[in-house]
Amino acid sequence: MTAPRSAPVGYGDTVGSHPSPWEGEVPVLDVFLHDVGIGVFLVATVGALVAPGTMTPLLPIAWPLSLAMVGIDMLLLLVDLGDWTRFFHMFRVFKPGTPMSLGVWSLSGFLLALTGAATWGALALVGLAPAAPGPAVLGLAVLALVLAIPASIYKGAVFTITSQPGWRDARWTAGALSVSSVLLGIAILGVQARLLGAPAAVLLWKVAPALLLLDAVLFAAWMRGARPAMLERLSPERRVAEGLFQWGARGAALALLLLGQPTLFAVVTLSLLVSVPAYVARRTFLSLPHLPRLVP
Amino acid sequence: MASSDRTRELDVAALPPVPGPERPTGLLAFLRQGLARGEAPEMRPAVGLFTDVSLCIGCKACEVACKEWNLLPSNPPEWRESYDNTGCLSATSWRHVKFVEDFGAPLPPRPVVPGMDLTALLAEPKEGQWHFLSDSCKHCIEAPCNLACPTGAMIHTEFSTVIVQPDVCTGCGSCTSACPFGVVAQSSHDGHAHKCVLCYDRLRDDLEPACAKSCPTRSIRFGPVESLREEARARVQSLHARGYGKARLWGAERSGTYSETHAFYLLLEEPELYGLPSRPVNPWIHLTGDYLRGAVGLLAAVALLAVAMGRMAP
Repeated sequence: MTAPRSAPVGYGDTVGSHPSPWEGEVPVLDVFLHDVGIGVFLVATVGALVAPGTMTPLLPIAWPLSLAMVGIDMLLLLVDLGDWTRFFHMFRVFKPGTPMSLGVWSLSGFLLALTGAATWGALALVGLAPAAPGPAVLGLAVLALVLAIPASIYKGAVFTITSQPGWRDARWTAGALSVSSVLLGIAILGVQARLLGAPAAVLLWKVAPALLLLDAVLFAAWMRGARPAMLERLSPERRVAEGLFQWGARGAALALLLLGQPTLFAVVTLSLLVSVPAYVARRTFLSLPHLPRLVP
Repeated sequence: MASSDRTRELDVAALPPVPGPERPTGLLAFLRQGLARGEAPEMRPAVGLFTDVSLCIGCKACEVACKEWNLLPSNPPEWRESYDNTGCLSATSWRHVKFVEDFGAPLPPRPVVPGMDLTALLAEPKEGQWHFLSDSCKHCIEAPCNLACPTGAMIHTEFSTVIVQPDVCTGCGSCTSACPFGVVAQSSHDGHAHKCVLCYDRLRDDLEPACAKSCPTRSIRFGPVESLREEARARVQSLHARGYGKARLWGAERSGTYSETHAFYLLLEEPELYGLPSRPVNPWIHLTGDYLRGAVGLLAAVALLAVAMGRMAP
């Protein structure tokens, strides 16, 4: 006679990676500021190249603002390292096949080039440099523009090229974060343009709906990849609340853009409707590996 | 082998210490040394570990030997309603013996009748079974931790094993996030990544790793990886012939999503029971696609922005 056998007590629920050490508010703020900073630079610079008459007046503030945000991002990266005094070891090797290495090199190059351009911007603001950037400054800006491509996309790959639940399956993370970054740039520069009374505010208001739609498509693709982990780790109430918030904010932003005018109130509202959901989405996504699995 | 190996170990211990490189003096010399590359050591035959769980008795000698040789601090035991009080691999536990308890309700006591044949007790059905697995770093051929490391701190050695060089580790956590088996861990003490180095110092002295050396049942076997694989395949066949139909190798063969590992296992049950994924995935198989999707998204946004601005600008 054998006794009834219960299921063996094994390690089935511990299969997988150690949770990533990238936890808490610092990495979220780091990703958010990185995306805002690069977005502000991209929109201002591309705008100044294709519509110089309208967008160039924004550069003296936009470039230093971008530099400040990406600079804070770099400082946060240092704070988040296990041993920040050893950051210089990141420059021992260049491994483009390693997102973190690609990111450190491209972001550092981007920051160097942007520092040159932003210096002109700061000097122009106080009247010590010409109001329009010269060829040398534009050259630096174009160099920064090229470096902004890897600097923008590496961040998403840092998360997806891991074994962390939620991150490892979200294949569109880098694409969605990059598009969101451009949209954030439009929203922030829209406020700057309105405060300066610049005609760029109207132009940015007009181009925003197209970017908002592209952002919605990529956001849906991003979240689709993270969905299995979200089902496993977020309560149904939280999923519904976050879904309503994300899509409600996007719907409200689109309605505002199509029906409203770029008044100061409207551009500030738009920037909030874009940036708050962007921050919350990054926060939720980054928290996924650290949340316990829900008991079925 | 045991006797000569013991002698060899004592011989090595008695050797005078090898003088290290001269320490640089002055800032410039210090920086120059930091940037200098040493000569790569000559490649040696790839070695590894074959862990046969059917022979493991859960004695934890390997855990203790690992801690002892590598000077790892002890951890406060975790009481987990199990003999496993290590919990998981960590920065200070590079080897972890897992205890899987496959037991049902106890059998009713058998009445002892005077004059009964006690050998009949040997044929009684068993109440249950322990499964043990002495877990450690798998020393993957395409190691995600190595691929993730942005500083070159994680390297393949001349023995094709994977080690961390703590002096160039920044503690960024990329390797911890990348390892699909929960091997690499970041130390709360120094902020750096730590894991099993397959006793690299012992390998360089032609000694076997401490875990294999201490294993009393030869459940953990060390040697050239190719011969270990052949030995492992033969052992699986032998176990199949003896009725262990579920016996299988884990990590000995390359799959579509993961390379072979230099530390591989013979399991008696499904890999998940032991906390091993049955289909491990190397995150690097997605790298090109993820970069491309990022670039496509960004370039589409920038192109849309440029076209729209060009058309709508006054």
